[in-house]
Amino acid sequence: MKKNILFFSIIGLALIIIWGLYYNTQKKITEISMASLLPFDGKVADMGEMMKNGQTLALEEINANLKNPKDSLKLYFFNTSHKKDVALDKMKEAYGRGIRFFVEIFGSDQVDHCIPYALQKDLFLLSGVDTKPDLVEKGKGCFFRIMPNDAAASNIILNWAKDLSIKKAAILYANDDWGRGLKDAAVKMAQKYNIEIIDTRDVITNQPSFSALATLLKVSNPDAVFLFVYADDGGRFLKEAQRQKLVAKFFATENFTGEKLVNNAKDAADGVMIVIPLNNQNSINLSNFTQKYIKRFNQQPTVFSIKGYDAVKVLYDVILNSGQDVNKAKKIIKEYKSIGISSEISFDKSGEFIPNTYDRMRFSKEGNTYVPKPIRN
Amino acid sequence: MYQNQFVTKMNIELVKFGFNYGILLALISLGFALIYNVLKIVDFSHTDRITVAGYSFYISTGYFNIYLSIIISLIVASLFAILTERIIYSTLRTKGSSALMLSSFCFSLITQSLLILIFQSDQKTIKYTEHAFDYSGFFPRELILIPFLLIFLFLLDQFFRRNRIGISIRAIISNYERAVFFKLPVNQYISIVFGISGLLAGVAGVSLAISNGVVPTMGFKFMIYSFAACIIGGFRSLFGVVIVSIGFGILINIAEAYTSALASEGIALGLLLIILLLKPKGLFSEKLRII
Repeated sequence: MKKNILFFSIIGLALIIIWGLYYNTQKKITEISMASLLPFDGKVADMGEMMKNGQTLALEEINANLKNPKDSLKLYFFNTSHKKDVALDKMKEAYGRGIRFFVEIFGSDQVDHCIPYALQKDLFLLSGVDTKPDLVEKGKGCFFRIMPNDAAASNIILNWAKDLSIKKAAILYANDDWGRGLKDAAVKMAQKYNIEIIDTRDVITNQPSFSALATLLKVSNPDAVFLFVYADDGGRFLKEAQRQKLVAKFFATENFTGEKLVNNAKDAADGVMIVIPLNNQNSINLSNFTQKYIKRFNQQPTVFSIKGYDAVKVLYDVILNSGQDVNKAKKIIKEYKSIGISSEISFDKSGEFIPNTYDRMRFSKEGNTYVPKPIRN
Repeated sequence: MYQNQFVTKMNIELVKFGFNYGILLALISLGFALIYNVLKIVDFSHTDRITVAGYSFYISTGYFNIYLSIIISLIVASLFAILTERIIYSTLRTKGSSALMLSSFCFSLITQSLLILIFQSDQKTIKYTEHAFDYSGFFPRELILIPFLLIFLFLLDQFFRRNRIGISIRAIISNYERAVFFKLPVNQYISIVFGISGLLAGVAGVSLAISNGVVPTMGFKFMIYSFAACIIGGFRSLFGVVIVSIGFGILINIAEAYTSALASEGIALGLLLIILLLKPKGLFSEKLRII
């Protein structure tokens, strides 16, 4: 009798364990999972944090407004330290956890390195920041983005420079895929705008001094300098340019938003012009988002927070409509259309983001600091 | 003709700002050379004193005015150097120069890792706005560094020539065993040398923190250049080290303008290699000399 009780108890316990395991597995399947591979230390850690904040806000909104509890979203953050090998390791780790959808791999270099694995494992990548022109082509249908590529950004800067009657320009660029991509695109298209690129100079990571570059550019006397460098380097260069009285107009891209530029350049940030891929600065959506963001994180959102937010929303919609099927998702996104916080979001047949108008902004003094303010044309 | 004028003007500017960079290198290299002379090792953790001074300055400016912050940072850098020597190097001194050098390298990495853990690896900037003088193009701190270095060299010279402790330190440098035999307070005197080198690193650290902000690896970039300046100058001629550091600053600036930032490092180190092949003991005197 005792033996029977023991036997049935063991069987019962085993059934409970099996049921528990099965329940957990089912729970995992019904939950929508995404991974976000961001840099949380190193040179661009601030951008990683900004994106994380934007993505977190989107995640919280989605989970607070669920129609079906099965559709709850889980977002896993991984720190890549802005290194491509680490990014690939983290992608493999995420894949090991059963994640097939990636809402960010921060950095074109990193994406480039991860694409072969993503293709091999049939993963879906969506980015809000990666701008290297050939990524979509290389991704062969697995990589999408909601950020215009370098060619679009260079085009907008050149167009603005042309409007300001700039004839000669010099380029300072970060010696990585991102910086080189922007530089190459600007050099290629400058002629179309009757702008002569008189010099291009690379900047290395943590360059100790910018005095030689500022001296050189001062002598070549350009009307404008395009700064395709990281915000801290850009800020330090501007300070040096101010010291050496280099008189030129300075243009840059969205990465000059945030505090790093002003912290380094101080008052030399005054008048710096930037183009950012937002085209509805005064929209109700953006102002609502800004209010929510400030309430949640006690800071102003930047283009990285906005793109992070939009990317999570887009990917969530695509996953819902595809029933978590990666191949279906790849087809659905090409037909996708929505109004995001940053701009209208849609893709062409190849999967490339269709860029909208950029906002032109100029740094000017506000209180004790300098902030980018939109310029109305 | 018109273009030549521009090129000449550019070269003058490059030399001017290179000189300025060289002064900073000289401060760091001098500290390197002083430590080498007493311990006969290359102290890899010397450039971390720059970083420690930078972070001390960053923290201090949050609470005190800039002048008090500078003083605090210099004291912290000197104490850090002295404590490093007292706690780590003095216990390993008997184990030979290889053990000392390895421990200095390990300590450098540990310091950087600790700073990353405490402050994270992203750049922190100092809330202080500086403007260059109109007529010279130099920032006030840069103009202070030039007389500081000259006065410091003069005082160091007088210290080693006329002061009892200075003369004793020279005795330690010349013959460590004999100095121990004559019961000179070797440990205290070595600590004084470390304190002086920490002070020099502190000055460089504060200047760098104002211009570039602080990151845990901010000193590391200068290790190669300072090390090279010491070898070319000859570790034992402090004046030679200063001259070569200034020359190095100018060379790096010119190379950067005419080639690229990446190539300038290669050119500087290429020069080091050539001089090492031609004059393995450096360009200047082999005896300890200041001027």
